Amino acid sequence: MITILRTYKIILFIGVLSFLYSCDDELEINPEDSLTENSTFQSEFAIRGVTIGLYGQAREVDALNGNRYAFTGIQSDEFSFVGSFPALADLSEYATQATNNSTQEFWDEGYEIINNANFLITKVPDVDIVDFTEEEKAVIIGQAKFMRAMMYFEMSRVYAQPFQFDNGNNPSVPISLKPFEAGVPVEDFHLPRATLNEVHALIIKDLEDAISVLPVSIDNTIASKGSAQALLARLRLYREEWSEAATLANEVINSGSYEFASDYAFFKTLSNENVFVLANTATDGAYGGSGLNNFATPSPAGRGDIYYSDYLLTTLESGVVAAGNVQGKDLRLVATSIMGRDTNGEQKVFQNKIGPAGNDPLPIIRITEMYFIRAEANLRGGLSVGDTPLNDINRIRGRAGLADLTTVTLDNILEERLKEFASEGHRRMDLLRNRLPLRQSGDPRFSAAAFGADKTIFPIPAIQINSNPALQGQQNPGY
Amino acid sequence: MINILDAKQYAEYRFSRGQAGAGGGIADLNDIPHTGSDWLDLVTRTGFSQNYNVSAQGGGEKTTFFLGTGYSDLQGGIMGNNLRRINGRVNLDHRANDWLDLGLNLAITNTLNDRVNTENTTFAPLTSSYLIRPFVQSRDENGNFINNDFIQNVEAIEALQINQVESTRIIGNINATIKFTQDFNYKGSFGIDRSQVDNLTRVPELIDPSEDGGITPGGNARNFIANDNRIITDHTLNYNTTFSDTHTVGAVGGITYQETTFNNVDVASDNFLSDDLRNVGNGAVPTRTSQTRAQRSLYGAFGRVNYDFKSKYLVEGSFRRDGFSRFGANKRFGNFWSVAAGWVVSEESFIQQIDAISLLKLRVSYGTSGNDRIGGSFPSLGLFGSAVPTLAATYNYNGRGGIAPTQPANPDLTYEESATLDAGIELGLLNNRINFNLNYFKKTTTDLLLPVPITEITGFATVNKNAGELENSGIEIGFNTKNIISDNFTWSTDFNISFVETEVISLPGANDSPEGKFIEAAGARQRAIEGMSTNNFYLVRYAGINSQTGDAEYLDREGNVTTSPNFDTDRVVVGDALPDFYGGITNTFTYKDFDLSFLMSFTYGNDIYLDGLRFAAAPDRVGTFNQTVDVLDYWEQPGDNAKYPRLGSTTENLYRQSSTFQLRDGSFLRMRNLTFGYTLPESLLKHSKLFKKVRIYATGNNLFLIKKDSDLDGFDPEVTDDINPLVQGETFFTAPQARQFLVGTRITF
Repeated sequence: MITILRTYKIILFIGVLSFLYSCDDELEINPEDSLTENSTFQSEFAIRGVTIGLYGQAREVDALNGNRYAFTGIQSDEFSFVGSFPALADLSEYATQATNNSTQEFWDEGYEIINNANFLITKVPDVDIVDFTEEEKAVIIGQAKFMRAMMYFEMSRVYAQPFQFDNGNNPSVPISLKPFEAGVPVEDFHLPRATLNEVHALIIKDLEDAISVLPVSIDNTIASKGSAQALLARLRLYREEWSEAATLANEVINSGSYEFASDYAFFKTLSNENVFVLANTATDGAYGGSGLNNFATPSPAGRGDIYYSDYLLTTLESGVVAAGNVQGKDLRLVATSIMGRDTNGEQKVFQNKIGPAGNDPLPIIRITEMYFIRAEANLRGGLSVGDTPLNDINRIRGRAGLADLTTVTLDNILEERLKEFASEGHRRMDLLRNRLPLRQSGDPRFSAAAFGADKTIFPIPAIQINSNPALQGQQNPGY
Repeated sequence: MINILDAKQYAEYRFSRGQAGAGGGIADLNDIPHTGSDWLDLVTRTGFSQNYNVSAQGGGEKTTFFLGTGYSDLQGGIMGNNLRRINGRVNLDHRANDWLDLGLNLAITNTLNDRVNTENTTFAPLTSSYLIRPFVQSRDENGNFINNDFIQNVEAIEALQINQVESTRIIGNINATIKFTQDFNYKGSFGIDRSQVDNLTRVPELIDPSEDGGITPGGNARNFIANDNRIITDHTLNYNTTFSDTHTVGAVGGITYQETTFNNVDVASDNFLSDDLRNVGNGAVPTRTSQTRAQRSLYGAFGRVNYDFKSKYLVEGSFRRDGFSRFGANKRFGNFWSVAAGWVVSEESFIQQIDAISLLKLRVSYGTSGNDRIGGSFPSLGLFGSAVPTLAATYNYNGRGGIAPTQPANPDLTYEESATLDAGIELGLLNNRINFNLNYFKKTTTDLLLPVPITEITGFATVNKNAGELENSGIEIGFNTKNIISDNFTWSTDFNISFVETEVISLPGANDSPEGKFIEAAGARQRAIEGMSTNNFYLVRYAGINSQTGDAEYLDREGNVTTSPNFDTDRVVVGDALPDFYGGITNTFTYKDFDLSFLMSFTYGNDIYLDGLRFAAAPDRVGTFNQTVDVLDYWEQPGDNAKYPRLGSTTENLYRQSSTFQLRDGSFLRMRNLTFGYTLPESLLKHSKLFKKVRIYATGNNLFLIKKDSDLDGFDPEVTDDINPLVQGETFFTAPQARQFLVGTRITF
């Protein structure tokens, strides 16, 4: 009797189980670690999270976090490369192929951020959430436009010849202004390359919109009016629009939000020498190191692949030292560079603006650049906005412990920019926008590195031409 | 193992390069030392393994049991690679009364794997020993490890680093059978399948020195714990009866439900005070704190009827309806069916008259099924998340929560469906001394689930799609012959061979190319192309060294010789990673109490790609990596038939690009196993009360390997680094299969 009772219990148990698990509702499972497209744009906090996510995306090594400094640096006379990656060896030897996987990543990360920005720019105006004001929405859209402009600018620097090549009529990258959301066909994104002028026009429009709505922020790790003005000043300089460049740079200098630092202790900090700085923290996770920290710091903590070129070192060492400089040499040789072992075990000079750990902030725009832009625009445009080129350049030289110049030329400015911005991703464009070769004469790649030469710019990634009929036949010459 | 330059050859080669003004040259022969550590010797060893199994079974009239346990310990041929496995198993069957049976099965396995780093990083044993420059030393004059090359000291890594994976799997179920009548019953089971993987990586301070200015020595730790928890329940009503002794009818109806929960915890930290502090909690800087969870479920209802007439004619039909949680609400359910028929011809009287034929059976079936195999638990949704896909990083920024698009939406995504036609013949001759099997199959998969590459202007590299049609078809042939049967001596042979062809029928939505629409996996060396295989190697053709100029030559797309190929547009289909046929042959001999068997296996017609050669066989990289000894065979004067170009040729830097230079024929014949055994004669054991049967054996695994391609030294043709089906037959420096010798005994009490 007891046995029978017990067996009936078992049957009941199994019966209940089958009832439980035969419900179709069991197939309705929601993600626990992601929000869906729909739910994201129904919450103010989620929308703010997407905005922060733009900077989180920018932390990827191939977005803003240092690889572009490293990869463009080894094309120019700023760095020497001795590392192991074939894709980088190709870049430094002007043997790049369209299948180069390192240059492809810049394209991928750029459009990932642009797509995210497009979500915000397109969706936020129409969201209707209690207490989410129009002003708050405008600030979010302004930040998205800043980041979109930033990425179009970065991509046009590497995938297109400079403005000076053909007055900006040369092809740049495709312009996408829509998010890739549910229901939108992929074919809508089969876009051809726009001209450099068209891309620049979009950047100018986005940055002017951002300038009009963003607050003058003291948080230099996110977009603000000052960082948008500074980025636009850089673009105006690249386009040789001297008056706009000088005025914008001057406004940033006079905004009071930033401070020309008295020494180089600001590197590896969020100091307000930085107009826009990428905050790298250990807890946000490593992207395999922030580009420079991985490649351009000495072995064994770093890879020791990329160090200061002989040309950069000679230039730094040949500066005329100011009286009273107890170090007896350019202070940037002391404070922002470091001796160490390269990949092959030889002693070389490496950048020390960020350390090997990858947790150091990476400067994207510094106030010092605004003094350089004001000086160059004033000099070349025959203008006198803010201060004289001589004063601006001597201010920068003074911090480095160098003697004042008595007159200043474009060559002085370019040389000073090389020394000041070593490993900060400026050198290659400073040469190209001045129609100069990327390598010094005597270098085996001197002619391959000439202004306008095919491999001074990156290939459109082969896989991107394959996956986009509108790009077919639009590869850069030489690839 | 690959033959690489020793320290002296290395210095001499670099000196020759220096003389020729070529990259990686040295000006003075003594610029680099002529001795160094023998890295390959440091990381390889003679492996050792042991294996014990004990089992018992028994029981009474109502209850039977099986108990089994096993222990094995394996030390691999690469230093630091150890595997220990313990398993246990319990089966219980209980007849409660004449209408109720109860059963319980439980199996527990625990493995502890001391791993080495994956080959293709400068932290992995073989990769590093091949590539590290041969003058680099592993230890200083006091015998302490040093690490001063960008290729890491792998001896130190294997000695000091912890990379341990402990996996535990518990599979258990309880089941009950209730007999309503003799012919009609209910079967139900409820089971769990729980697996836990716990991986701790602890990198020592020597390999990861701290960057905090000497406050802590350094090192880092990561602990990844994955808990996969599945419950499975099946319930069926079964009817099976035979009437008039000729008609057997069976019917089954049932439901099944599976639910799987994946729970992952991943934590990491940096900067340890001491290598003796093992765990993540001791690191000064936390670098990762992640925990994620996802669920999937599958619900199915099914029915099947079968009929057989005198065990001569057999027919069967089935239907099932499956629901997959991974697809959108309207795309979740699919209906699948199958029919099958069999004819045991040898039961017919006209065949029974033929003595030679002992078995002749024909069968044919056709059926459909669905599956949901594509990455992630929510492949159809457009998602915003904080975890960066495939990277140990987040979109959080400076202490603020950040999310970004991680997956594009495809609300139309649904299961893929396969329709399989299967037909076979089984023939037994001469009292089944000769058995022959022939099987033909054709499987057509439609709505293929694939991450399809799309333009990155969308912000994504791929979108999950039902994107194509694939056909697998082939013939499988098996022979089993008992060649000799006598009182003292027997010889039997098993032979099987399969010819399988995989063809992509269509890939709508994929990219166009001159060869047709295609899908290319990351790495860009293989393409699935419409009308062709799924694994075509797509590479620039290498043409060798021009004996007059000493430059390396390639072919452009049209087949013209060039010294400056375009490694994008000059690519063509040059091979296939899938074989034309493969199979195996086993011969077993017994003589009195001795037995001998050997198994050979073979594969023919596939190509393999050796990625490591882009580093170890690229002469102008010699300053950074050691090279194979082949680089010494360089062109010196017109008329030379050299393997490598003139030192300093501008074509030297093309060897780092993917081309057919790194492609090999993967065909091989391998002596996989040879076992020689001796069973103690029963006469000897007759008086023993303890032993029923004792067998002693010796086994050799992988005794020899015949490769079709002579230029495959040091590589094993059975290579595939990647689990991605679009990346097959590619390796960096996968360790060759070890040659193993085993002795063992099997005792039955």
